[in-house]
Amino acid sequence: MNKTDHPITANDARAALESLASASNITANSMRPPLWLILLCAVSLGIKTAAMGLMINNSLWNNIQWGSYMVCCLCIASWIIALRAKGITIKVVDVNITKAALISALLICTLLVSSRVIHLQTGSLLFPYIAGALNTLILAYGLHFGLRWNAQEKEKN
Amino acid sequence: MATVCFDELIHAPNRLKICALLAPVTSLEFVTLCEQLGVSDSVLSKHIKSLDDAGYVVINKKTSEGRQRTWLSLSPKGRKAFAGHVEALKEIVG
Repeated sequence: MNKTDHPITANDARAALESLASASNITANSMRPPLWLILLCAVSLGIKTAAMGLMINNSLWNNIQWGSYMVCCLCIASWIIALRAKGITIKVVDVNITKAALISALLICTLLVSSRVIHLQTGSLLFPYIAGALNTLILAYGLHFGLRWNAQEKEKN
Repeated sequence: MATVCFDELIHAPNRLKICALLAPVTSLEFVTLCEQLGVSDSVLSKHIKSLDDAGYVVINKKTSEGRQRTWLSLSPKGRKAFAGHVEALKEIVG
């Protein structure tokens, strides 16, 4: 007999929703990676983006590109392992991805591809560096504030 | 969109927080959940038992490095009930 229609007042419901929001913040804070890991991950993605654009006929940039890609993957893997040691297993693929996370992911992919395409088409040496810097900022910002935004957005929906 | 359904079992303050903490993750360890809720083992055990009896929580006991770790996760039924309950709360607030 768990289900009833309206057994509580609006104030009780509001208080319950507030306690849900605080619980979501606790989860978001406990899942957030440390700042050094965020920076390492973001900088390695930025280097990968720049190297991807500049690597044409250049094995050094190609090696840098793969090296930074591996560092980025290792950062993510070590974060997941560290969380598991702390007693939290996260959803690696979250089907309830928020709009902000989706836009960030698309933007990062677009910058990765355009870094290469624009360099190939225009020969611009500057654009891959700009794209790399932008990807660093987007990922760092997303990893630092993203989990909390996700929690808040899911609360609103 | 979840079906709007107020659930008195979930609505108890600690059980509501347990569901809220379990919802965004795949699973949480019992000890971690105790710390995050700020309650004792026995209090948490009692709430988990109620949720388990209703089929809302899945309890998974694993042994690693010589000690037993209890992992808790929301079952699909539990996720649906929690989502429905949150919708019901939002509807009551208006």
